[in-house]
Amino acid sequence: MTRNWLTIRLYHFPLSFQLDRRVPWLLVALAIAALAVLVVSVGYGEYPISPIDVIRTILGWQTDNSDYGFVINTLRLPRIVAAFLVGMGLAIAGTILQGLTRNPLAAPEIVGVEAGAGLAAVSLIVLFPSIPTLFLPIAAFTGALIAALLVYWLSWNGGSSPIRLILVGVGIGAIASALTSLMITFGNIYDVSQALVWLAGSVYGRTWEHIQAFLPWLLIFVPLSFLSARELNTLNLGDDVARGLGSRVEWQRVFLLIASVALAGASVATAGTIGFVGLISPHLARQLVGTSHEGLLPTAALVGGLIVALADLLGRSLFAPIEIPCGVITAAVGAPYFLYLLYRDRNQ
Amino acid sequence: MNSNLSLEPALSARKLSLAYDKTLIVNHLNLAISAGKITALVGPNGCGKSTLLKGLARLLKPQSGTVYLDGVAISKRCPQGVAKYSTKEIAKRLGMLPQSPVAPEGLTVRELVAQGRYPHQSWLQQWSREDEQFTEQALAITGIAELGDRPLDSLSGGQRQRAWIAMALAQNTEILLLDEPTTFLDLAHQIEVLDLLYDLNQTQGRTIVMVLHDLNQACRYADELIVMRQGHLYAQGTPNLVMTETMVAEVFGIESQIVPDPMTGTPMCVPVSRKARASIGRK
Repeated sequence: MTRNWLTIRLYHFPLSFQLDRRVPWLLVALAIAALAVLVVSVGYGEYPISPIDVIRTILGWQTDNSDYGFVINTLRLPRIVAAFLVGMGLAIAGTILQGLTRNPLAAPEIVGVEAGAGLAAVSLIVLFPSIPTLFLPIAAFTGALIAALLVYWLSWNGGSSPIRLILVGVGIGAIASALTSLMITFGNIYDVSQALVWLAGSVYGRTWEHIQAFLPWLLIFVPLSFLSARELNTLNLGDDVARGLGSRVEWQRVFLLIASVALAGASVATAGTIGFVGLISPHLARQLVGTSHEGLLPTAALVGGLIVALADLLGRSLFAPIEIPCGVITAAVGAPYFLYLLYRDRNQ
Repeated sequence: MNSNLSLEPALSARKLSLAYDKTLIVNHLNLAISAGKITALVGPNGCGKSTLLKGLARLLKPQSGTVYLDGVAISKRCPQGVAKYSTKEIAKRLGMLPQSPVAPEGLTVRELVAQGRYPHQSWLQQWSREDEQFTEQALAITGIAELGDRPLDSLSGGQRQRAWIAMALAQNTEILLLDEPTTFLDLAHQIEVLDLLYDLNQTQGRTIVMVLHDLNQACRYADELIVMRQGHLYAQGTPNLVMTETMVAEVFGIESQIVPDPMTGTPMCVPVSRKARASIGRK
């Protein structure tokens, strides 16, 4: 129909959709960039491994050094895969929240969802240290959901003004953080040190076990959110227009909120509170592919994954051998960006 | 779309009461809107005309009473045993454009207009040949085809309003409800939008119901006026019948003279103000 859109339509089967022409190319480019970061990141460390050997080892081919298998597959790869997946989860959660609330400042870390998830997860670590990793995402999801519902309930006043939502979100986030600190003072020293590292937002020491606990959440909620892209487009036009178009607005909103909170909660359970990824990724993706959620959601997901993977690589290399948690890196980049968005919003 | 000239009302309300929170805005209102006609809802600020339009478009759940579309109930709250449309089925027959809607930053005109196809789409069938055809047609009818790839926020007020109307057109409904489609537009753009709606009614036989502020424009463009006062229906009928000095005095609280519009012959309201009286006195 136009040079800007790609229409896919099957002849004998009722399947059709359209995509911004830029989307497929960008997704391929982002995926290649992500793989490149993965290879470099896996190779980097106190024990450097050449990219060729990294690729050979990951693919299961023979290498000259028998240690590579252990270093890569057991120590480094799960950590970097976790970083990428967590970035994806947070970015999708942020994109959904921004579309849902029609608020460019909404993101899981800003509206208190991450803090809520953090509180629930720390409580679990401190109170029941022996509980299996598998339960951590469930606790984080519950905490995130409670925080989200509280913010929604307190700030929703027949529609949510951007600033009101942020203020209530920051308030709930502060309360959750305070309770988290309280939890930490009561915990025993070993559990607490573990919780602290995790709270800063780090993929340090992540194993395949953590990814196993995280993966089901991604496998369920990522496809569901992609399928809801059209609903997000409609909600983005405002409640009245969406209702007029026949969207079941209340139902859609609850469903999308649960998807967003589930992704944010499970991400926090895996890598702690990594800030500002859910805020920045959708904005960057929108610059790349426009506002249509069909293309925006997958693009934001890859951008988010790339950001966290890069932040982890930077955190390990900037002041090596001292390691900075990737959450600190994303916050250092993200906080000024948030201020910029606030400033721009004010001048509109 | 075939013009529907039957006498069956397109849209009707029975004992309809609408409220925001607990404040009753529209009270026990009975109403029938003729198919294939242009109906203008007029009344002073706060009389409940916008609320009524929202109620008719099922955007507001009635406190009591029911709205019927082709004789089928469409309100969420309706008597038991009465046939009912789903919200998507309603959206295929009835389009609603709220007052000054806001689009997300960066949305292009074509993207917005394509949104009008939402009720005709499903999870798998998201962009059928028909969707494309109606979107292009809506862009052409409203004269904004060449603006398709421009972001909405880069357009003038009149162009933007035409894009929103195009979205409602792409929805391809027999009935179109519009809440003050001319607000915030300068006079030239007001006439442009009203002429467009008139053409749609004439050439495609669409039923149009709109809230208008300007009484003279309402008289010029509408086949029927619905006059509201304090949540009640004050009068309904052709402009010639309804537009009287008594009506203007009782509903709007001002003295006026009704004269024929020099262009169309439809009634025109000329308000008598203190200033006007002073000028007459001086003569």
